[in-house]
Amino acid sequence: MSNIAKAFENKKAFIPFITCGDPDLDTTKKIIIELEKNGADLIELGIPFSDPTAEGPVIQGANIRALANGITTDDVFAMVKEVKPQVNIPLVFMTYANVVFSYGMDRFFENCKESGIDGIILPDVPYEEKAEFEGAARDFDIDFISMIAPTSADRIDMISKSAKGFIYVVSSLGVTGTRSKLNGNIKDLVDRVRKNTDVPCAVGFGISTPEQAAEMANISDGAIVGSAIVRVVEKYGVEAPKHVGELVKSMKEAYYVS
Amino acid sequence: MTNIKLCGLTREEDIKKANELKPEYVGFVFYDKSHRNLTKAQAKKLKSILNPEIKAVGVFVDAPTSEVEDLFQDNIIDVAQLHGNEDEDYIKELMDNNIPVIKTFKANSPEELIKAEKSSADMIMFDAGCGEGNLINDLQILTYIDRPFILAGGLNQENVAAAIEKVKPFGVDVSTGIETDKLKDSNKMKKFVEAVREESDMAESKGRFGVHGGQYIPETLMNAVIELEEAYNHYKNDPEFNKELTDLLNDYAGRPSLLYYAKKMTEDLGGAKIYLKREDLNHTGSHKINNVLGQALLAKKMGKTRLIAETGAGQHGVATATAAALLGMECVVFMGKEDTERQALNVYRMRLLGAEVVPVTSGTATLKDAVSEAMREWTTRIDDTHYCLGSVMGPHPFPTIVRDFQAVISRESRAQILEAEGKLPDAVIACVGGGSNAIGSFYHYINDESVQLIGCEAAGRGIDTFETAATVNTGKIGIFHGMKSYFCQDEYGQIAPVYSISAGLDYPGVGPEHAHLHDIGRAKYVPVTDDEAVEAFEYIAKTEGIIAAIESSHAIAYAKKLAPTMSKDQVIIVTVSGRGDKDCAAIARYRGEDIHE
Repeated sequence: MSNIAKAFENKKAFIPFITCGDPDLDTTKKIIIELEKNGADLIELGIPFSDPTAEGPVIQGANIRALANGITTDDVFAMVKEVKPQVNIPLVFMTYANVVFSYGMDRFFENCKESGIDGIILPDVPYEEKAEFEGAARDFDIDFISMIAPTSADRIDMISKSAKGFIYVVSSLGVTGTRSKLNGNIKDLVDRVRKNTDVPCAVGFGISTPEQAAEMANISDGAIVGSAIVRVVEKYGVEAPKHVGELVKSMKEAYYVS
Repeated sequence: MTNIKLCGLTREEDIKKANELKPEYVGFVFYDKSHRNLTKAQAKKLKSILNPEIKAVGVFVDAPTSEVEDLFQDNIIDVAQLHGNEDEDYIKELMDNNIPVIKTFKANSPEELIKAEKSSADMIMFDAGCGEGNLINDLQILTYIDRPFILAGGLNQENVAAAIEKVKPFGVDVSTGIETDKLKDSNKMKKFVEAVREESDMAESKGRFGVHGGQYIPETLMNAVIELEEAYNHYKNDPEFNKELTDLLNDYAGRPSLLYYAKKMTEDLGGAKIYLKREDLNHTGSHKINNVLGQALLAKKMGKTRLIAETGAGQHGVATATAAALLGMECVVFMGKEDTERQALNVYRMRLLGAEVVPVTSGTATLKDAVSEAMREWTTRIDDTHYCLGSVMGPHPFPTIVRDFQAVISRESRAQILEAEGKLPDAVIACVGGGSNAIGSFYHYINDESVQLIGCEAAGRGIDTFETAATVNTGKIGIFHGMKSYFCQDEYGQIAPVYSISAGLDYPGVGPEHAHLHDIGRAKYVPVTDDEAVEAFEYIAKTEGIIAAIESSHAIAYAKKLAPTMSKDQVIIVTVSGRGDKDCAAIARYRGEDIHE
């Protein structure tokens, strides 16, 4: 069983997202440790990109802050390598095609493996373009995570049949960011995925409250929370680890209430 | 899609199963040493119940040609497959009788591969042995074959998908792999066909120009671009759509645009004759209207009621707002905040035309961020909204659609120059940002090798400085804004801030077709600095009485350099992509003069 699969084993996974290097890499390390301590089952680590076209203003801001700090892809690899021995849950990268492509596919995924990364999420690489990335990722045992959107319709069968790791179900149209109300048809998306594969589904985009997280985890295999956490990091800066930990704890607790 | 041939069928039940599975071919073996051998009568019976959409292939090993011809004439076989030592004369004789021929070769030596490549047979097949069910040892060798072929030998439901992925054959042939105890196994037949079809269903990357192009966009947008591609493929051949578009271009936008002989400029430079393709005379003052009218009409046919667009200098935004007003559609234009300040007049124009202008503050607050923001907006609202992309960039099908709509420039100029000069031009010059006026100017000359195609990039303060937007000259290959192409970026793939005096060329990427034309050496891309462009802006105003856009002035600047190096019987066409009224205040500022717009 892959490390990612273990994160979903016999439980609903809670998956927080943070942007590496926001506000700095030391704080990122501390946040990672706090996240695990407070119940995260898998962590999505964003490698900053200059033009994150799938992100709303909150995560765009985190990317800009990290890049303004001079954070590079190599710095992120080094940070992960350092923190990984203290972390028992799987870590996956979330970034953009050009970050991986410009680094060199093989070199990128080899470094992923060496530093202890288990998967990669590239929101600007749809099914049709994944072969060139997935081939290299597979050579180093990195799962290429597929995304499904409310507009995917008939594409769901094709995407889920070849999915690895987990499937990232995009809850609603648009970019990342908090929404007061989530899309109503998420369960239909998850059900359609289920007809094709046993690979777990986690729902993301727009989940900001413990209630929403619990609700989404309830109809799928897990919830992904990004902007709500990044906003706390933005607010508290180097003091963020404690506050992020509290937020995650409240979200994970809501899982057991519902 | 990979074709399937199920070979060596011998029983009626095999045919019934094939009818259900619908392979492209089934094979009947006429070789008495094979346990699958059929008599003519048996084959005739099987053919009579075979679905006529499935072709029957007769498999022969050094049989007399008369036997093959006889079976073909009696419609028992549709294709002959030759498995023995049949030579070229043998193949030709069958082909002379209109019998389609597949010749089988063993993929075991380079000599055999060369023979196969040169074979005059309609189709070639590679096999490990002769029906012994062995897999070809080294599939890699087949990736070098330069013609379509059928892969045979040792295939089965387990290995066929990997083999297809590796050698990408025209078709696959199976016999032993779908048998149990020397008889066809209906379950294995089904599994095999499913395995091939599933592999073929793997959607492939589309819209490639060499290695460039593709569709690097969020899953949320995939069905929208697929829908757009389907609609475009439908309407581009629809006479009614084309008539409507032509009417709009002619009666509303003022096409065809003039091809003007710049006599004074020619005489002054003393070299090649210079013609100007006057896209600046189009309604709204630039080539942008060509594409916008096409896309807006297409969007309307698709049932969209709202257009969104990005704009740099404001030309594309104004054109989109114009088309939206004309066709009764809602319009929202995304424009970098910095550009809204530099081009305040165009912002006013767009608002006057009924569009909403959204100043974009993210990133560098210029054109690239306007594109990003328009893409974000599109993922939020797809149902009623068409993203009217302004250049030959972004995900497939945009580079193709925009190219096709802009190709009107070279379609006209080609006819116009043949009329004026009785020959094709020696060079065509256009400025390149994303590259839409350039690709439109080049397109109908791409196959005319004698015509030099030259794209002029904005070098800003020079390609040896960081203040440049010369993507082909200074960028490297990357993936951004939906496409693989050349981009200005740092070593970690972070998109670089770019600079040019021209807001319309101030973009860190270039259309994928240009990247490809550069790779294959068909077009060349030259850098032109701010200084050179401003000087050309002033030159053409004084020499020809034409105030050309600062973007177009980059092309004029290079023509000024090139023309004197050419002889007087040579001809250059320069595209004046837009008018320069919008630039007057900025150029005045550049020269240290502050004027109120």
